[in-house]
Amino acid sequence: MTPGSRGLRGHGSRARGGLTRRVLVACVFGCVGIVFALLSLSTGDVDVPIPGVVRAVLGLDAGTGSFVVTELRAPRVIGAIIVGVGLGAAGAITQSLLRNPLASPDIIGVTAGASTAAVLALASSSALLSVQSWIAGLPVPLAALAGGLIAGSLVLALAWRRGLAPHRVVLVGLGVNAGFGAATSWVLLHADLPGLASSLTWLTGSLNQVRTEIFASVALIIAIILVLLVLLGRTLALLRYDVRIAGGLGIHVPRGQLMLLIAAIGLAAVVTAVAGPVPFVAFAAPQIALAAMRTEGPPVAGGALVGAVMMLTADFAAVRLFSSALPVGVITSFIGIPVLLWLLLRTHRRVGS
Amino acid sequence: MTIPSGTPATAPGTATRRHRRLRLTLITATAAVAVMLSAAASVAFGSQPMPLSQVLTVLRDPAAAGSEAVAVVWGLRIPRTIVGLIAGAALGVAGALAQVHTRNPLADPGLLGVTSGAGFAVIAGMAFLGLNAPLQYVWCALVGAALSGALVLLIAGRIRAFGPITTIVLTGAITSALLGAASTAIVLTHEEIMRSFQGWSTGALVNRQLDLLPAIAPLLAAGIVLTLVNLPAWPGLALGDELAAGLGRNVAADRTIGISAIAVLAAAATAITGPLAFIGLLSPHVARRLMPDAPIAAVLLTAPIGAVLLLAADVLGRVVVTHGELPVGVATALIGAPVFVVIARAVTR
Repeated sequence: MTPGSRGLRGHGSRARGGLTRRVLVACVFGCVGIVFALLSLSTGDVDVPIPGVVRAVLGLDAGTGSFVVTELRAPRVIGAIIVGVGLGAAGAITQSLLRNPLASPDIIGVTAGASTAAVLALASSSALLSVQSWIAGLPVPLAALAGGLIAGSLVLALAWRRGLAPHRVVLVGLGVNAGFGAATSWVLLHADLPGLASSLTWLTGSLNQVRTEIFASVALIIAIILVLLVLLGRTLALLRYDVRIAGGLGIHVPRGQLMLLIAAIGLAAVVTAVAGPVPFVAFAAPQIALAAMRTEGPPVAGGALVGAVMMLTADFAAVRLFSSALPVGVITSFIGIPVLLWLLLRTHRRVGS
Repeated sequence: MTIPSGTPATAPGTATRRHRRLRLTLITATAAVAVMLSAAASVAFGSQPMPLSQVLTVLRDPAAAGSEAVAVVWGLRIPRTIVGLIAGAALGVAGALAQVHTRNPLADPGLLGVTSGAGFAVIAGMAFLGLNAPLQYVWCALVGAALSGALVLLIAGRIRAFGPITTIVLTGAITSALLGAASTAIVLTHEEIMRSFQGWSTGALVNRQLDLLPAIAPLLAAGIVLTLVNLPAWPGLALGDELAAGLGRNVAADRTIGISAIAVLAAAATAITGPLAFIGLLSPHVARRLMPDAPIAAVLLTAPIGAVLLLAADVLGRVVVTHGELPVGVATALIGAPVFVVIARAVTR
């Protein structure tokens, strides 16, 4: 049931894409990402020409243009890249391990749980709940991490019945997602959140209120997880291929699966602290990368790259195409939902009852 | 599939029949008492605490009570109680019909995308057609509910990856996500809608104008008529399309009537409360627990059960929170999501 060229099921019968294809696709996506990052930095109320942008980014210029680029626009671009990389990589790992493209953190409620914990930590009002008093002391990225891990374990525990049948993971995940979404609404409606956008914007996922002060800690957590992933790379490749063969080759299968799942859930959760639960990036980015690169399963690095490109283009569209800046989550939904429908409609054999 | 079709084919003995009639009377009486109690609670408790004696004074002798108390009770609490009773009953029956017609114990107008279709259509109508009269909202809601329901069924019919239960819920969730994103985009780019629809997207009973009630009355009437016309079809539908056709039912006609009833009832409820999920999911399950051997009575019983559940959730939302109140849409989702997970686990055994 590893997603391959036949949609939700089966290894690809088509020839796998070679290294050349993967490098080529990565270059194309990389170029698109750079173009949209530069466009986001250069256009807006004040247009800064591209050479000015490059000089400002390199720190060679100190004029007003440079201030606009580095202080006002760069945080959005950095936020988009962090969120896209985290969600894309996380989605690729969970989709590979659970052998279910729908088992991505944004569909089964991991990012929803992370965002509930994040808004609890952000809330300054103490009259909300008794648990809130100690969550409020936590740094937001750590709270999001805890919330995501709680939601993820909840889904896995509730969906477990002699294995994780894809349809049960999806149904339980949708329920958990709805529950945490409602909990987030509750917190947002009843806590004083200075500077935080309206509940509508936060629940959709937005870079409008991106908070630069947490970039460093989020980037640190992501770096630690990425190092862990590099160390676990062989385990992931083998688990993705065949659990029994991985076991035969001396890999501790349950421990490997657990560590990889924690890493993936952690990635998705911690980037939620930056922009809220941005929908459909963790689901769609690995699937787009899989279709373009024709890899054996959803590629982790490819998913991260496509995730970043998806966030950069979506945020550019959200900010520049509409009269007022929309939350980026609206656009990622418009990109991700057709991918989901396409995937569901082209799968002809059943993967779950 | 857990929808019981329990009516025995052979005539039951007189003793069993008397037993069942007694049980029916008892449950009907209990339902009536529960509806009255929840309505009384909805009038008595509020986010602004008011002694019970003062509430009673307002009801008995408005002149003796302060004008502020009269405004709270007559201006806020009684209208939202009426809205809650009507919307809850409509959603309960719509949920029961959805579960009968899709033979899916997880079906619910909210989960099927019908209510988000109604909500999206109202927002789009306000933004692009400049609608502002209650009657126009209601028609918009109806068209949106019907179209999104049809879209969900159409897409679900073409998905082979999962079994029918998962497919319908998943398709509904996808459609709701898409319509939700589109609604968010419209609301955030049209400030005038942002103001009038504050809180509407989460579903609420507060600040609902009763002037919408005359506008939805024809829809409610149509919903009741369609439900009653559809009534003889249910035992057959519970057995599956082939067997129902074998019993001499016109399955296509039965299905069209039933789905129209769902759309009409869900649109009416959504027009006055905003999108609400889970009431339609929970009510039929409670009803079937109470009446396991009478499927038709169980569907009809979802009307009082839906009303009680919605009012109870609304009262909880006012009482539990220390300051302000919880929109009923958040309260129903907080209660409904765990129950959804429990039912989902049971049906995917």
